[in-house]
Amino acid sequence: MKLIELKKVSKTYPNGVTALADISVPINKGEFVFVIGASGCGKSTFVKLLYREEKPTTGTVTIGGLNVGKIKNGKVYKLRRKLGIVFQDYEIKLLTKLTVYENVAFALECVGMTGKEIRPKVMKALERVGLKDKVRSFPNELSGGEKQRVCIARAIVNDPKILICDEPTGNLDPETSQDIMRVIENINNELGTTIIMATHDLQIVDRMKKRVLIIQKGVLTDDIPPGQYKAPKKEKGEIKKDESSKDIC
Amino acid sequence: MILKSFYRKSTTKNFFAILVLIFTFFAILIFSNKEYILKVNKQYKNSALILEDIDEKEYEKIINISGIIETVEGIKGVIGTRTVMIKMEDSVDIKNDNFLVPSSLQEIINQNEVYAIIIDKETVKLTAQEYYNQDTSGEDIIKVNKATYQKLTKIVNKRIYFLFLDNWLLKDTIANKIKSNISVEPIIFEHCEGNNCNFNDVILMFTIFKILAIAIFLIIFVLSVVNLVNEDKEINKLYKYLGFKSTQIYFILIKKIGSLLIFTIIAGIIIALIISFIFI
Repeated sequence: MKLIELKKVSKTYPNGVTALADISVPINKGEFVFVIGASGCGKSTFVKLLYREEKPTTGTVTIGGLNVGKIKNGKVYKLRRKLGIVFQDYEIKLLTKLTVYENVAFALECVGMTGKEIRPKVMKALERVGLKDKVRSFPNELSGGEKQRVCIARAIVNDPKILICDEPTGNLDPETSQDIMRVIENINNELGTTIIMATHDLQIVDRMKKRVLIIQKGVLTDDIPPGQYKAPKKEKGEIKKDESSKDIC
Repeated sequence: MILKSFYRKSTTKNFFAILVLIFTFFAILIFSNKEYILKVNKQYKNSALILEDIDEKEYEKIINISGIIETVEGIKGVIGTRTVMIKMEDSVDIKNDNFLVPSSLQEIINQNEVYAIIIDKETVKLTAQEYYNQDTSGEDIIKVNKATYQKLTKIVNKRIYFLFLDNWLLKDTIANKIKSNISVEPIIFEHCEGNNCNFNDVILMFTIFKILAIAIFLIIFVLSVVNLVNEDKEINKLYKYLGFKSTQIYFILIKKIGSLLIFTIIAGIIIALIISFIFI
């Protein structure tokens, strides 16, 4: 069942740079999809369209039947409450003066939940990411991987249908990256949450055997079914940046 | 939880401490100023604004002016060459057509003698009953009983009034209000008891310091708000990603600023009260 669909989506920035050109792709409920490509290829723009950080210049982006591009700016919050978003920069996305518990809990304040309602949801999310014993810790007491897991917990605490990850392992070492990917895969397997992840880490993509969308110079060049993607051996670890593309992500 | 994060930040704590310090100083100034004014008013408790030749209508126009706490009504009369105020007194036993003589008139009025008192060109004869100690200076006040007073009020409809104020420092303001209401300029009868009756310089110092304190407070407060807004720019993006509405984000900002102001004022007042209680 289609949950997300991009139909002939193009995005051109005011400076004239075309980040995405005529992309059409459906994503079903419960799928785990990687979006890969060189730096500046448009994968971050692809992801930003989903949570309405950007609007498509042409074409439509629909999530659950809702045309995301048509949502008024003042109503975008409604869409984002149904999504979970995990970013690369966990350092600045955590409130340093709040404990792990509080960092996850305050995300539920926006939907007006009471303390009583918040507690079980937060504990469940923290348990899922393996941080139940760190509830009273502050971010400066955590490792990089733990910080990113707090961000994931915060992203899933409100039971979103879609989890959007923009380079979540970008600042982590390989071993920690694997841990994070295990957490995210569990969320996909156990909760049925649809995962869209933009990444440049081809090792992870190769290992996970999920569906892969390859974007090059703003064009969707490949849509590889799960289990069929093989990372190029010569440039294992990263697709080289095309020197003619501009870094616009 | 968002407020928790705000108050745990070292910049917030620093600004809060400075603001509380300044506001405490300001509050202490207010309390000290109040105490000083009370002290000044004690020294001037027998001072009054005097209105002569006022009829009932004019009196009604000024009696509700804020700051006038007591009025003493009388009739103007003349004994010999001395102008006196004839006041009704019912707490002391005075016989009809008798009057009590203030200590200031002892030399010219003898007890048990009859004296002619001129009231608005009419002459009445009253007997000096006994002397009493007049505790206020200024007009010489002779006292008669109610029946005698009511008889005298039929002779003239103009009265003389002593207006006592709750804050003598506002005498000029009140005098101007009276003047604007009834076009009569009150006589300012000023009487200071004790030493050191020069209060104007001290009042001025209080005023200057209060203005300085509040100006510095406002500057620091504005700086703290600017700092808050700058620090929150990145955090506000995070709020938006999490699904906070714009109005919620504004409300968070207002809660932070409002709570900082309120907690500062509360803390400042409490500390100032404690210090004032101990030292003032």
